[in-house]
Amino acid sequence: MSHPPWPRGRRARTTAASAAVVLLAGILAPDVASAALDHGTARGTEAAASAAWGAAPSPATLTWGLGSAARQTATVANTGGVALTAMTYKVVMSNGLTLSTWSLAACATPWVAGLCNGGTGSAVGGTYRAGTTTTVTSTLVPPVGGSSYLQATASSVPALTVTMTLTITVAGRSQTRTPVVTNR
Amino acid sequence: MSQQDTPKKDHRVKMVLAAVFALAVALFTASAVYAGLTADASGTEQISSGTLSLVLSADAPSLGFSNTFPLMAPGDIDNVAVNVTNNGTLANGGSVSLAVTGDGLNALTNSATEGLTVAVTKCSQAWTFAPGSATCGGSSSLVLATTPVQSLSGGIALASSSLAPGGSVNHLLVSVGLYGTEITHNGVVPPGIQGQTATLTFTFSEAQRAGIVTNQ
Repeated sequence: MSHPPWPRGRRARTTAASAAVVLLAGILAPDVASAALDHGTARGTEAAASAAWGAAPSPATLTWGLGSAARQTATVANTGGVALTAMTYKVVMSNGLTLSTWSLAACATPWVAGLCNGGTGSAVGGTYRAGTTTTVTSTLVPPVGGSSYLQATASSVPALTVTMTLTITVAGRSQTRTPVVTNR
Repeated sequence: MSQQDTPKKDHRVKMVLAAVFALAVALFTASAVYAGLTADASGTEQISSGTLSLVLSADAPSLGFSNTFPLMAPGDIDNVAVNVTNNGTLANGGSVSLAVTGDGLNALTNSATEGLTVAVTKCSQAWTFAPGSATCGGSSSLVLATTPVQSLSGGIALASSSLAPGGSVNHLLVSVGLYGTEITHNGVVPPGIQGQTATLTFTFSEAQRAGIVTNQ
């Protein structure tokens, strides 16, 4: 059996350095392996996507003035992906020198000739006067992907312009559907 | 070659043989002395190292991890029952710990007040599922109270979760919830927890028991 000749000069130094690296790796490797045994781990993943919740009136401002109709309507759309159980209206009436009052009602279907399925709909709050701000909660809510319908009625049409500005807020925990427990 | 050379040659041969013999005697003597100086005494000790092996599996009828909960609303719970088994030969250091990290940098996982939460309940036997609930037929204990994911990235010890070696099992119900009181005004979603997605990585880990000094 013949052996290759031992390399000379630079080649010999390279060979020696490589051998040293291999030896060092061999010495260190067991330490690394034993350190890894300090902990045992097991992993799993789970993904969650949150829904959005909310509702928006359109138009958000209703206006009365000389020549306007006493009844005005707005549509409230469910802008999120989760069912609502309630929502809060903030009704801001502008200032105006008028004795007129206003009422607000909601309906699950569009108002027809001032009626909600032949009735008066679901009252949202009580009587509103010019220059007031009222916050009221309603449980008549638009379904997911759908709308509900508002009608604001003035007791009499004011001579000067009065506006009703609607802001609808939906709070996550208290005004969204009953929580669901899902077992996987 | 003449007849007179023969005695001289025999003499030289004898001289060489005598020298070889003397050298052999000297080497034998030297080796005997060397052997005397390196006398050995030996014994054996057998060592076998222990193992740490934590295994995660579904606790049937649960499917285990790797699900997606779509359109999660505040208060919703995503229950996953898993078995955490110590398949190693070493006891762990007193408890199993759980770290939860989220891959998305959004409010679901990086908010301390709103977002995803995790709770873990341990059962002495496999969990059973019914629509809308998970039931432990044995004794159960809450090993991790509802905690925001944001607080779990560094890991936390699960109470009463120590596992003996050789296949001891923790039947754990991992409950992922969404806590949210965020308010939406006129349909405009605020920057927060709504409409976000996160993938949570649950890492169960055990540290080895403390080292033991044994005198034999």
